[in-house]
Amino acid sequence: MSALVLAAALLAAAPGPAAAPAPPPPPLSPGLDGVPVRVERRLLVKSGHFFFTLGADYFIRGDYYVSPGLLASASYYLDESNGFDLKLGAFLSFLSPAASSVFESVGLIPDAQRPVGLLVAGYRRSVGYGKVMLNGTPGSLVHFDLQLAAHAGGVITDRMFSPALAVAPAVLVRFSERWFVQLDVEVYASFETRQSSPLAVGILPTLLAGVTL
Amino acid sequence: MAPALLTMAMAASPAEPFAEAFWHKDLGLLVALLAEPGDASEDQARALFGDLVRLVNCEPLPPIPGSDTSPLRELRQLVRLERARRSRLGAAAATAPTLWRDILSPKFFNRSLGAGPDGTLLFWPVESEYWSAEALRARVRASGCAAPPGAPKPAELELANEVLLLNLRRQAAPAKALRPAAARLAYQRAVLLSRAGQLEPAKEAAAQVLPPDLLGPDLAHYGILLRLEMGVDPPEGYAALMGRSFGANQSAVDSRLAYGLHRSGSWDKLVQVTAAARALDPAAVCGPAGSPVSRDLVYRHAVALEKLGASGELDALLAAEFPACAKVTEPAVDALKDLAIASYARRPLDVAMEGRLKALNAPGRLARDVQKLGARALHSGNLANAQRAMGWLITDRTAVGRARGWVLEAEIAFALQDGKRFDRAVDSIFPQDPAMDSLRPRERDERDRAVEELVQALVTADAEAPAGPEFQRRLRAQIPVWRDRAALKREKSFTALLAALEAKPVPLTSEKGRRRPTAEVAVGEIPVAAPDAVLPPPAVQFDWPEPYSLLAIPPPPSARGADFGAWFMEGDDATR
Repeated sequence: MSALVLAAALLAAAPGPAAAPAPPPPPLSPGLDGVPVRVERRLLVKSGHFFFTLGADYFIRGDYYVSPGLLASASYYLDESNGFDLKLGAFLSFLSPAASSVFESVGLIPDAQRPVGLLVAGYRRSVGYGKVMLNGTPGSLVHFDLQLAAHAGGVITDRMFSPALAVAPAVLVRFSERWFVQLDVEVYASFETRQSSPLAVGILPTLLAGVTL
Repeated sequence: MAPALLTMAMAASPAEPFAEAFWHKDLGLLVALLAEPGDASEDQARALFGDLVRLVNCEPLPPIPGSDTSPLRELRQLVRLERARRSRLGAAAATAPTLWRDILSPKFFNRSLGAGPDGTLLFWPVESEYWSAEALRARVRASGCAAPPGAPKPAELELANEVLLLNLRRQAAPAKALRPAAARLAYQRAVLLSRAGQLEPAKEAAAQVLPPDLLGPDLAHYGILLRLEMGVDPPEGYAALMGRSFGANQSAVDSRLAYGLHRSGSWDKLVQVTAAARALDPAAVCGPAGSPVSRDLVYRHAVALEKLGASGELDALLAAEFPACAKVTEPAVDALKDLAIASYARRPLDVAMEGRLKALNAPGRLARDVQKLGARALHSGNLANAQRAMGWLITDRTAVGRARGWVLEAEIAFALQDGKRFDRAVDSIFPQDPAMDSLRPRERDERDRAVEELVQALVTADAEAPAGPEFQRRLRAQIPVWRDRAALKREKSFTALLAALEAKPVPLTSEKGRRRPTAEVAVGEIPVAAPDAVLPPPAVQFDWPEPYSLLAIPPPPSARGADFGAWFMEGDDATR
């Protein structure tokens, strides 16, 4: 068992025992109201805290551009379930090798606009809490928060500021009392002035590390 | 068999998780542990701790099945007894010094699922996989303790029955850890029976409070007192209570302690124990608010002073208590008056002494008290004082007083074996011509009584130190004369005294199938050196304190081998 990566991610609707899945015990159990539970103090505490992160992302839009980038975000959580954040990113976009060949051979360039930046604000909702023991020892135990995020703002391209909407599943992983990692996989929809459809859909995976204050 | 089983149950571990949670006041954990499935080895412990949860959460306690012969059955019975006690205490349970004060305090037990700000607690389902930092908890049902407890079913005394006590004591014989619980039960049963007026079973139960130290420091001295009050231990044992604090019962206990010290003749200690009563305001001792207990203590204090020869202090005490106590008629005050007269008899009867005597009783009784003083003086060898008393009496302005003077004179003459003086005295008691008797009926009765007392005294004195033949002849001749002159109702007494003088048995009569003497001599004042009789203490109602807990709870693992706990100590989780 110790040889395995013990990844028992126990997810429970938090807070409140109401979602406990066990069947009710015999009604005559003395003093019992509901069902027994295991109770743990939350280690990944977000309520009233700022989270500042910096990391890398990669904008995948199928637009003949390769768009790695840097992203910074600042989040503030009203409680353990609800938070807001602001993201600011810069893309180091360039034509993909295939697009470059086409350009060099026939002189055509993609209709899509080259993303150079990102500025969005949004809402984050925690929908679950989990923990994982990476190598079977208590020291390797990390706690994480499963989140859903929604953002609105714009993608800055080489031609315009494109209004954008994004939704994302996210994971906020606690490594220590101060340090954490945030992984978002956002699905973006931006609106650009193009000859074809103005809707540009893409995926923006981001991996950020940061501190909480 | 049961004791061996209980020993096993104590030594085994199944109870320990429950005990650990209980002694940490962690109701959330204990309830969760009880709700989790367990193996059969835990059943007995589960039943006991389940009862405890129901007790502290004021939930109904189901009856123990008759088929349950487990060694913890008696401990479960104690839980039900504790519940019945709450019913008896009623609203006072919230403040009375019992475990109910704690149970009825909502914060005494930890009922929470966990500590921390809202939203910081995570609740996981209970699975076999164990993660550190997760704690088994359960939401505890809302306490039912706010509701009135209702009548105990079954009644407290039915639960604290002889069988339970017997079984618990049987278990406690090899399992020393249960002895305090058995002693507490015995104490409680004795108190309950005593309150119910069942004194003999109460005595049997009190005898099981052995040794009283098992009741713990707060109750041990009451255990001693209970055994003494129930007659298990002799009154001399009251001395062991000296220096112990009994709170509101202190004066009643002092009275009992004084009685024991009086019996054992421990005069120095008696003075100490009764000193507080001496300091009381005499008006409070004998006034409407005074109690027989405080008067009894004053009396015994006076006895101790007298025995110690502290005549100055005794004088001061008597001067302080009278006339405030003059109108009180109860054994202790009567004895105090007699003590005063005996003390005064040793000093000359002068105006000041007359004032002292007047203070002892209502004015109409002064002649009687002077006669008593004279008789006491005579029998203590103070003939001069006896003669003074006699002189005071025969010059009294009342005919009864004068009659008493002649009675005393007759007694003096008898003591001196002075026939002429005796004859003159007896001739003066009654007028020669009965028709010339000027006394009113009540006065005549008092005179008759004085004469009867004289005859008793003379006959008794003759029996102890036979008078000469001449005096015996006089007595034999005189007693029938007195009998004829006295009221008819005293005839039998005189006849009996005459028979006694002649050493003849009193004839028996058959009345309602019982043979009894034709006369029973009414013993009045017998002014002879009577042995020091110890007045029994006044009846008092003790406010017996409740044991803080009647329970016996397996100790936590950290105290394995210790006594079964009764309850929590204040301020920590140790057992009381």
